[in-house]
Parts: sequence; structure tokens; C-alpha cells
Amino acid sequence: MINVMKTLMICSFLLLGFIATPAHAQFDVSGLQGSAPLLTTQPEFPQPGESVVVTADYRGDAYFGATLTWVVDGELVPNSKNQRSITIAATSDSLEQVIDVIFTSPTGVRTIASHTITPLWLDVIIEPQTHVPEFYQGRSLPSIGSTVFVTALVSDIEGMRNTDMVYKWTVNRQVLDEGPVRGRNTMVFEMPMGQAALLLVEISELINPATGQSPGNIITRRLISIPSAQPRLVFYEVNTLLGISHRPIARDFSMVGDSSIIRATPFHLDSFVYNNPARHSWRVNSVETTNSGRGANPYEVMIERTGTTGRTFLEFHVRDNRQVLQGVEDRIQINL
Amino acid sequence: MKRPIFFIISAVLVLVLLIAWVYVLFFSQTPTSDDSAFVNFPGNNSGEVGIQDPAQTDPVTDIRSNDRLRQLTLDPVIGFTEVRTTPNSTPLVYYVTAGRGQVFSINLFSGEEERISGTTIASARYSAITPNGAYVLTQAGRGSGSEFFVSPLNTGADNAPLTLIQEDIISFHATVDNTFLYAAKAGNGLVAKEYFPASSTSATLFSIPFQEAVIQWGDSALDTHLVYPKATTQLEGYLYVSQAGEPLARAMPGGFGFSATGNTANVLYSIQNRGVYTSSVYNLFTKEITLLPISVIPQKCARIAILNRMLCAANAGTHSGRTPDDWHEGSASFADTIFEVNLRTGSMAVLSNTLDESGRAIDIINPTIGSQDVVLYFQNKNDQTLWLFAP
Repeated sequence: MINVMKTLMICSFLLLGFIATPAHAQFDVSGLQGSAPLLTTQPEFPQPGESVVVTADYRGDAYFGATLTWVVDGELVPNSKNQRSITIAATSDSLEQVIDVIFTSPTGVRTIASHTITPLWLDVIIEPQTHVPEFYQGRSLPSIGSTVFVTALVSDIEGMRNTDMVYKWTVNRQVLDEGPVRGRNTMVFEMPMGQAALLLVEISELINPATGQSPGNIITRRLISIPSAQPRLVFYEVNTLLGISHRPIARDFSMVGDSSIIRATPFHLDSFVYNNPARHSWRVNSVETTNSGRGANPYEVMIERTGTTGRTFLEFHVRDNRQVLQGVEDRIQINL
Repeated sequence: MKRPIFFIISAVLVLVLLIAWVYVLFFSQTPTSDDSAFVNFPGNNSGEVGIQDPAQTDPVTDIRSNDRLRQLTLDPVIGFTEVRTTPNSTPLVYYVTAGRGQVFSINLFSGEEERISGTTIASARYSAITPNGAYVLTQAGRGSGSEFFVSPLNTGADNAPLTLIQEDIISFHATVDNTFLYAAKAGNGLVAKEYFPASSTSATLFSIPFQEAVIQWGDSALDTHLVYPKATTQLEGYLYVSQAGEPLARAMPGGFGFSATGNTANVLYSIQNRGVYTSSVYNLFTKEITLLPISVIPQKCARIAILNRMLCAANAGTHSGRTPDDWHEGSASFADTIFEVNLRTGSMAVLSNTLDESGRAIDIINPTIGSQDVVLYFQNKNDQTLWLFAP
């Protein structure tokens, strides 16, 4: 329906132009000076509903003094006359959105520049392989040297698209998998040094629909910044029957009973390091305990009251030998 | 004795006493050997073995009082549901005890409490009960070592048979059809299934192409299910919807710290927007977005039968640039007010200030409306106890 309206609108507009200036009723701009008008969008690959700036790029004498008329899906855009760029919302109701700009020169020559937007969602799901406690309902963050899983999902308003496209992944300008790979919508990489990693994913069709040949066009692209978190330690009390408390121990822990189990929980530590720590130790007032890390869970320790009052510092340290930034240490104060 | 000598002796005595007091306060009880004070008892440091039953306390407190806000249990619970055998029958609340996995029922009229399953499931962590009270699904253990058991209730036997679901389940839920929905790991993603406890069979519903997913289950297999990556303030999340058994499709909302809940018509979602935690309602039909005046964590909202209404718990003005991470971690806690949210207009009406009404700081989780939209059940995140609110 939109296409029919659009065709009717443009035809009538052009027809009126023919009638008004029959001597200049032509659309061939090849003989004119200057390059053909081009429409560009910012962002280049918009998502449904996203605000898009469309700019008409034209130069040369052929367009000197031309009147610009903007038409989106067959409808005139209000207050857009002679605007070099307009801002529209990418369609979230249909698969495509056609934008036309009609250039009418002072002598009545009309030229159309057209651009079709195909809004797509390109979602990049980041799944860091770092540790958070089991009850934590949020997502962990990557830390330097940790493994990161990423998944690219392309959707339009009708649903998720087939993954049979060509994917090119780049992290900090380094192309992964040595180049674009068909159907590779998931990728694994190691979090590089720095505050964040820049991940670029570029997705192309297999075949260019216009030529029927490969390579196909790039249909969407996305650059995202993945923050790198520093591992940190949070202490929780553990009940042998009920499991880990869901509230962390503050800097001070007041011991009420005769004994307590404390678990040191590293957040955002590489899961591999968490499961196979090269070094881990519990210390009491800076003195390393001789029996820490020998139980079933090296992240837990049982403390026992030996007096009526006093305070003690309890510290935990875990670290990897290969990547020294994969480690964390912290302490809490135990008040008896 | 000369006066100067007297003063000197007095000062020395005061100094000695002061030193002694400081020593006793800070050093006398400090262990000189770590082993003498801190012992990693063998076999007891995993937190999962050597189970000791704590002192039993009567879970029922003040069921028959006229208070709108009532605490149902003193023990932490890991799952609950309202059970009515017929629409007009006396409502019972079934709940599962943490750590032991035993099932109890509470008669909301008489306050009578009864143990209906004596089967102990060690290290029980999460549980779901079918609304007819016939089956319970319980997770035992944590992480990759978890096991999932389905057990019939009301059999009269102390040790009801347990059926093990041999899949790596990350989320499960009971339906109004008295079946279970669950999502299990499959390859790089998840697969959502419906489990039929009577026949111990399951049927696939839809697949999810990633594993770090939160699933807001609908009331039945063919209801609307919302799926999004686990929320964090540092990474973007996106909303996917499965309706009427269809595969997942992308829906409009998304953003940093994204989390959501909803029904077939509306999605209530929250995001971090330039350091401000904001909540909005997205209409799945009109695609309109309505900003809420008070931000809420969507996990603190309960669906009700009216599609344009929802009950939510929130503490106005207490969210930060780290919400919801700090709440998940436990470092942030709230004393909630219960609101009725009009999802069409975005207006919010206060139903109860739980702190004023109970004198307790209640950080509401797992809010669930009863079968006739009369009673709101929820747990206090601080101690996992079960409460009800009858407006």
C-alpha cells in the first residue's frame, strides 16, 4: 500500500512538473555537471524505531538553486522543504522504508535521489566467563585475560533472522578467526589489556541481490565497547544447612556464635582461575594459616571463637600465575 | 607524702591502667597462632555437608490476625504457592523449607500448619509447586552440581518417590496447568521445555541462543514469556518475547542494566539511563512507551489478572547508578512500599508502606498474586521468610 502511494505521489509530482515545464521534462542527469545526488544515513545501519538523520549529498551546478522535497514511504515530510538533512524514526512497522528526495532546479529539471532503509536489530550478547556467586542474578563482567563469549543476533520486526550470513569480528582492530566466516555468529576471545575492548561485528549477505553474485552487501554493523572490570572480593557468611547468605559481610563482622563459616567470593575473576587457582591463601592478622585451601572449598574458612572480646583481621588472596591481574585480595575485621 | 610525689604516682598509675585497658581491648584476645583460633574443619568447609538441623521454630506466626501485612513463616523458604482444590475452597499456602526441601501447608483461615511432605532433599535451594498442590520441583545443590527432583505431594507417604530430571536446568516455573516450565542448557544456548509430572515427559517450547538468560515465565506454556540477558549496569540487555508457542522475537526495549517483567499486553522494564535508574512500560501492541514516576526493579513486580495493572514493590529515590547490580550482590537493600501500577497511564498508587505497617524493613522478592487476585504473597530478601499482603 505504501509503495503504491509512494509511486502515485511521485508520479503525480513529476507529472505536474512535466506539465509546468515541458521543455525541461527530463531526468537524465548524466549530461549535467556535478555528481549524482546521494543520500546517506546516520547511523548507517539503524535499528527499528531509532532516530535517523538522512542527508542529501549533492554538488555541482546542476543542483544550484534546486528545490528539495522529501518523501518518506510516499508521504511528504512536513517542514522539510529545502532541508539538506531530515531526522526521521526508522520504521518499526514494516521491513523497509523508502526515502526519496526530489530536486527541482530553477529551470524545472527534476531529479530523484532514493534510499531504502532496512532497519535491523543487531544485538551483541556478551557472556563473560567470569565468576559471580550462584545466587547473583546479574551478569558477570569480563576482566583482563578472561574468556568472553559473544553472540550476534540479527532481528527485524518479523523475528530473528537465519544465522547463515557472513560474520566478521574485530577486537581492538584485530580481526578474529583471520577474516569473515560464514555462519559464525558466535565468537570467543580473550579480554585484552586496557579499560575496555572495542568489539566490531560486521554482517554481510552471502549474495548481492542486485547482481546475484557474491560478495553480498554489508547489511549491518555494530561497534561496542566492552568494559573490563577489576576482580573484587566480597565476603559472605555460610550456613551449613541454608547455604550462603545473600547479604555480604560489611568491613566488620560481629561474631555472635561460637563459630562461623566465611566464604570469600571473587566477583569477575576468570572462571578458569576461580576453579584452578594457582595461589590462594587465608591469613589471620597477616599470618598465613597452615590449613587453608585444603578443604573441599578453598574459598571457605571456619572461624572459631577462642575468647570473649577482641578483633582480628581475616584476609583472603587468590591469584593466577600466568596473568597476575587475574587475582584479588581483601580482608574483613572480625569482632568477637 | 609530698604533693608532687603524690601527683607523679597517681599519673603513673593512671598511665598503667590506661595501657592495661588498651591491651585488653585490642590485643589480649587476638590469637598468636592462626591455627588455634581459625580452624578449617575437614569436611565442614564446603557449606554443603555436615548438615545440622537448626532449632525448630514454629513457622506459623499470626495468620488469623486482621493485619493486612502478615508474616507466614519464621524459617526461610525456597518456594511457595497458593493452593485451592476448588474455587471456593479454603486457601492453603504450600511452602518449601530451605535446606531441607520439606513441604508444609498453612490454612489461611485457621492458621493450622501441616507437613505434607516429609521427604528431605538436602541442600534444597529453589522450588516450585503446581497450583493444585500435586507436585513439587526442587533444585538441590548449586551451580553445575545441581540436581532437580520432581516429587508428588499429598501421597501420605513420608518418603515420596523422587524423579530426577537429568538436564542442566537454569530456570524453572510452575504453570496454571499444573505442569512445569524449565530452561536447560543445550549447546551454546538454552532450550525451554514444558514438563508433565504425571507422565515424567517433556516437550520443547522454544530455544534461546545464549545461556546468560533471565526468563520471566508466563502462566502457561503458550503464554507470553520474556527473555533477556542477565542484567548488569555495564552491558546492554535486549528483550525477546515468545508468544503463543512462537520462537523468540525481538521487542523494542533494551539498554544498560535492562530487566523486565510483563504479561501478554505490557512489559514493565527498567534501565540505567546516564546514571539514573528509570522504569517504563512498553505496550506490545501499540509499541508506546510510558515512563513511570518511580523506578522499580521489575523482579519486585507481580502480574495480576487485569492486564493493565501490576503490583510492584519499590522504595522511591533509593536507586543508584549501580542498581540493580548492588541489589543482586546484596550490598543494597530496600524497605519497600507496595504500589499498584496502572500500566496504561503510568500512575502508581500506594497500597502499603511495609516499614510503617510491620515495623520491619522488608526487601520484597518473588511477589506472586493469589489465584483470585486477593492476596499478594512475597518473600523478604533479607531472611527469605514468607509474607502475605491482603489489601
